[in-house]
Amino acid sequence: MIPVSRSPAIVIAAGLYALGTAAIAVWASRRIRSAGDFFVAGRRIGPVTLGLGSMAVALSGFTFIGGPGLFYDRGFGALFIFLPVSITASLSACLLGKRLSLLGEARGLVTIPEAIGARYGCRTAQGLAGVAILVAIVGYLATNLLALGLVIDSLFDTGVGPGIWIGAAAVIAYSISGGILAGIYTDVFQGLVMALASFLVFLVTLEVGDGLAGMTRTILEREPGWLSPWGEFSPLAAVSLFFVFSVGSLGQPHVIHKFYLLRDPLKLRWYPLAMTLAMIVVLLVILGVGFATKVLVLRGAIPPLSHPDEATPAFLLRYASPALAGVLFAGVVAAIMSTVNSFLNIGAAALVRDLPGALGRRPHSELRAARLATLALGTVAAIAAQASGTLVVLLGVFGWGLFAATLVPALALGLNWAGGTRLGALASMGTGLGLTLVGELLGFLRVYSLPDGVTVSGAALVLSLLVYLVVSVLSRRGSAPPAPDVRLIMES
Amino acid sequence: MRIGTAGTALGGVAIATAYGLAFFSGPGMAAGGIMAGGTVLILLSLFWIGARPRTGRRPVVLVSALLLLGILMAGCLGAGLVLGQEAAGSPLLLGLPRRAALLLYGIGVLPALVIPVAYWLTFPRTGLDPARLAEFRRRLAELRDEDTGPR
Repeated sequence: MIPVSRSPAIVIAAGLYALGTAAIAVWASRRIRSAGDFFVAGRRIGPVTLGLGSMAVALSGFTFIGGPGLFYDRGFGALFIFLPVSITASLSACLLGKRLSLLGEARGLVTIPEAIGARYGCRTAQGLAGVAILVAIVGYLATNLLALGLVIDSLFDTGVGPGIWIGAAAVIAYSISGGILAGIYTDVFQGLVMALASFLVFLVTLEVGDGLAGMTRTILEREPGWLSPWGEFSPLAAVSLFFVFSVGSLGQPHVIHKFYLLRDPLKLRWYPLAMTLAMIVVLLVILGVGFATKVLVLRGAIPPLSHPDEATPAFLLRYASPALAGVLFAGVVAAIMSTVNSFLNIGAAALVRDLPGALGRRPHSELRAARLATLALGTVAAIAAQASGTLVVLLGVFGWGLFAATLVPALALGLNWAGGTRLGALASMGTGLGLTLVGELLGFLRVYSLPDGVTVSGAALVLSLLVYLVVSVLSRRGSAPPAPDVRLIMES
Repeated sequence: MRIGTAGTALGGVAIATAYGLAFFSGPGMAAGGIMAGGTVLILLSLFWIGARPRTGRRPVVLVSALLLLGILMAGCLGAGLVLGQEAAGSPLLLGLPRRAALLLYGIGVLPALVIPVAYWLTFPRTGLDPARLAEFRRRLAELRDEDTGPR
């Protein structure tokens, strides 16, 4: 259980947040008329909404609980997960923004696997991408719902199991009724709550720790290795994190799928500015809380933590006003709910469009099927979260790497390089999916362990990139070119 | 495109080599250095591929920004590998020890000020402008007409 004081201010903040989310969901649900509204918000979203919404779904509860805990535990090297945010929005806008936005307009696409299918004229590639997304999503959803259950239990003393179901019911309800339209506007609200909470808590950490320089001097006197560039990691491990979380960002479907939502492709110009600024403001919480908690433990002001995830609650309970703690816990709930909603939506799209599409089929009523798929996915994930078995933990851990290794080469390179071939895409997707699943499973079962610094996600990502390039070059002769409209988009 | 794909391939080979080295000699400085070089190369190559104008050369502003990004990332990661451990009393840079400051500000903050602005400034050439979007829509309509027209 997360140690949270149940002060009235925290409960009131959580209640106000829930009311705000519900109001937006009700407003959005009245505007859903079609599957297009449900999956891509009718393609009528502006750039700031897109940037804030993308930030909210990209950052889960890990940002507020796991991230500061990891920084506290492993030192500066943990920040290599977050340093890429300075470039990832620009990178994805450069490689994917225009292409996905125009593909959505030209072909009416709503899912990332559909873009892969269109690029290579290949249903198998679309189906494979849909399978990869579904595999990763169930684990992601389950771990996020488990985290939501823990927070609800801490706030309202419901017990973890009921907390999971209360949280799941709330997200499933607005995901079913309002689809991604409710999702994107609640994401904006949730993103603003997250940014406000992070910024205010960061200011408190600076004040409590005697400024950045004061905190640094304490660390240098007592544990200088913590502030070495790699912290408790080796240089290889730290830079490997940077590689996976920068290049891998190009394959996160819940984030890049948002490019389909943009009303005017010309407004894409603003996306990197809005998204990068929003991400940096929210990530201040990791820097501030992780740093301050470590310093306060070293100074003896806080007893050593029994688990790194206690860093945020331990700091807030002692040093933040109840009102600020309430805003931050609303931010935690917001981060989890926005991510869950987005995963439910792309998971439902995979079930309703990608897998049937791979078999050449379409449901009669897509909107109805999408709502049923959302309900089914949410229920399965909540059951998995309650079971809380080792498989759930495993699936939750490797989601990012699975998306990256399976989707980045075929999508990010494929939409920009005419030399990419269908065979190259299939080979790289098979490599990424197979290596990640087998590697993570064998590692989890302790059949083998990789050397320090080598991760399954990093190795799978780089190998799938190389396989895509090599197989594409080798199979270029006789390979069918992209369809004329796709070619036009790639050349525009 | 050739520069971009070649750079991506070279960067990928470097990263794979760094991982391979770790199997034989552990995660030493050499593996870390090769990993850093490969990561910088692959990121610059991907930007190069994505920021391709339809005609002509890439804008000077964008090339300069990418050059700066490469120097910042390579320089700061290199400094992290080469410079020695700080101790109590070491001078601080913007509140942090020298190496940590170089990495946090040089990789995590400065690129955030430069790259999105360069993207914004060069978007009409490397992304879209109203004329280009209109032309895209006109040619798309022509393709649709060809598809549905008499055969």
